[in-house]
Amino acid sequence: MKTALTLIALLTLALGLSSFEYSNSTYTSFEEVDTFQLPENINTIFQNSCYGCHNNDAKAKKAKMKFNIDKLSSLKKSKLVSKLNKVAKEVKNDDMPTEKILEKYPKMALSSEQKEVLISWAESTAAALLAE
Amino acid sequence: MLKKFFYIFFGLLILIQFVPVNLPEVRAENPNDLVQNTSIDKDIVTMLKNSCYDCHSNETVYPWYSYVAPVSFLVSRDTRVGREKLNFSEWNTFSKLDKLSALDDIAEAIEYGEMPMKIYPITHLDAKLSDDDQEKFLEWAESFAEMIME
Repeated sequence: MKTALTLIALLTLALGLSSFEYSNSTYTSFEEVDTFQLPENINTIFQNSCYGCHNNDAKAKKAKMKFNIDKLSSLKKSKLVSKLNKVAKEVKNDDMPTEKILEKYPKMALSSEQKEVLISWAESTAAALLAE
Repeated sequence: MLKKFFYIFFGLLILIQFVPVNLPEVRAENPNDLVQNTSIDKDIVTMLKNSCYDCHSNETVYPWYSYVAPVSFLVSRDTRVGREKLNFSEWNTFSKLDKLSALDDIAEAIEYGEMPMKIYPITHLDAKLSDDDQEKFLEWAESFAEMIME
């Protein structure tokens, strides 16, 4: 009798825990869908010209800290707005990608069309987030 | 030899006092100031005033040695550049976007140990931000940014 009770208790506990985990995971995936996503064309530009230094595993500590593409979707809205604003500024001023990087990897250069796309996307997205 | 060296050293020191230095002007009335127009936690205000305001506001307090060359050159440049990059005395004239970017810049500068500049707390002991201070300050910057968003 005792063992049966223990078993039932354990089973309930296990079920409870698994359902908890389940609801938790569905919640996070919902959040991910709901929050920020990069449009395809922007993602392509990022991958080619920015991601090398601005990712989770980048060696460039400063670059990673200032702008981490892998973490964009988990940023607070206020942070995201300023990061977008800075992307627009850096690209406008031709500060990014840096000259040093371009000497080494000329393929990372942004074409003037890419710059335009990137700037207008960053600015309009920031403005939309601000207006929300 | 040593004597000659000293003569030259002090001679130069006296000479450079005649190089004109333009310490950025101090203004007492700053109607657009951040602290004056925003309700900010007392601890944060203290940190802002002690660690930032000498270079990042119009309320610079110049110590006596900031009038003596070559220190005056450094103080003059740092204050000028500091105000150019971010002047808390003009906070209320910033757009929402500029405010948010400034707060993000502040967080980056503190996290990366760029601010306050290493040379500053040597003579301004209160300016040093402990790890605890830094954390509080970063938290404030983040919540303030969220407030601005709304």
